Amino acid sequence: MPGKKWFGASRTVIVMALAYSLLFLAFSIASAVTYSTVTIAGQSITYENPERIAQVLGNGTLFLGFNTSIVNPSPYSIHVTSINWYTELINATGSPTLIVLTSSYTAENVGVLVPAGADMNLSFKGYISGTLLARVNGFINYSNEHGASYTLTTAPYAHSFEFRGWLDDFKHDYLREAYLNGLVSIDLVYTYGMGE
Amino acid sequence: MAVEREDLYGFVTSALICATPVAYLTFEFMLPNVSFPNFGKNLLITMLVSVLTGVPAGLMNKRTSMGIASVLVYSLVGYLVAFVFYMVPFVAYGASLTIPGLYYAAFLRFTIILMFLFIFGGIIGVVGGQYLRESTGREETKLMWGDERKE
Repeated sequence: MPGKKWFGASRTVIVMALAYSLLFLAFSIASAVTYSTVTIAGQSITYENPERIAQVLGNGTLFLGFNTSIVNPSPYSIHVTSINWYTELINATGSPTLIVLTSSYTAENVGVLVPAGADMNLSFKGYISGTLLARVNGFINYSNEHGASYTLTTAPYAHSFEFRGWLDDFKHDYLREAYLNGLVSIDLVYTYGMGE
Repeated sequence: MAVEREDLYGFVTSALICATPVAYLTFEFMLPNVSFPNFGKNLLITMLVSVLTGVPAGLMNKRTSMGIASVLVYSLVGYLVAFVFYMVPFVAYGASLTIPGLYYAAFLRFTIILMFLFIFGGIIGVVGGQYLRESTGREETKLMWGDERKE
């Protein structure tokens, strides 16, 4: 006896086709949920409380620092590609034009990870002395002769901080489609006094 | 020959059932790194799944013309469903778009070529499905009315 039929097709075949369809529907929904979570995660990760520090130590050395915290409320960890900070003085009237004071760079191979749903405090510091400090003092003295009132702690030190990373293991190797990596990459930038 | 109600039921059912693989394949081709399973933008897999997706449309449609029309409809429906999934973070969750026009245009630019595969593969699948349908029908007739049955 032939099996039961719905509009001329075997009922078994239709049920199998329905299962096939539902499987792909489940894939689509799961993927769309991941896509939404990643998109929202990318927009929710930020830095908080950036703090610039300039102090003169007891031995006359200038201490420059920068503190901030990376806030990751997302369900994904961040694989850090690079953390870069530098500070400099923009010396518009003299030479060298930029007096680079101190910098810090952390590369991908260090393997820094910001866990899911956690914050990470970052602290950078540099000590300026010797010739470099003499240049800073020269800058301050020259500026003060022209109406400014800078000291070692109030000089206009410019700061640049950049944090780059990937969400979880969503990074891929497709070369042409930059938008895919753009979707899952984190790029936080903080600048102060860079002339922007 | 007039189109019967049964033909319409088969057409509509196949057009709906077969749309979800097209939706997933399109979405996965646009965003492979956040999709599961990840076919890695593989066009051969896309073609094979397209052929497989056309088979139910062939099995459910008595007429070849309606089977092919079903392929066109489910390809379009699936493509639109994929676009809806693509908009989910921005429409349902309020995520912000950086470059709105370009972002949606990119979907069309990257995925429209797949329509060729869906339709071409789907028609091949429909032909295969109809062959199966006829073959099954012949076998059933033989089992019911053939010599073995009589004895």
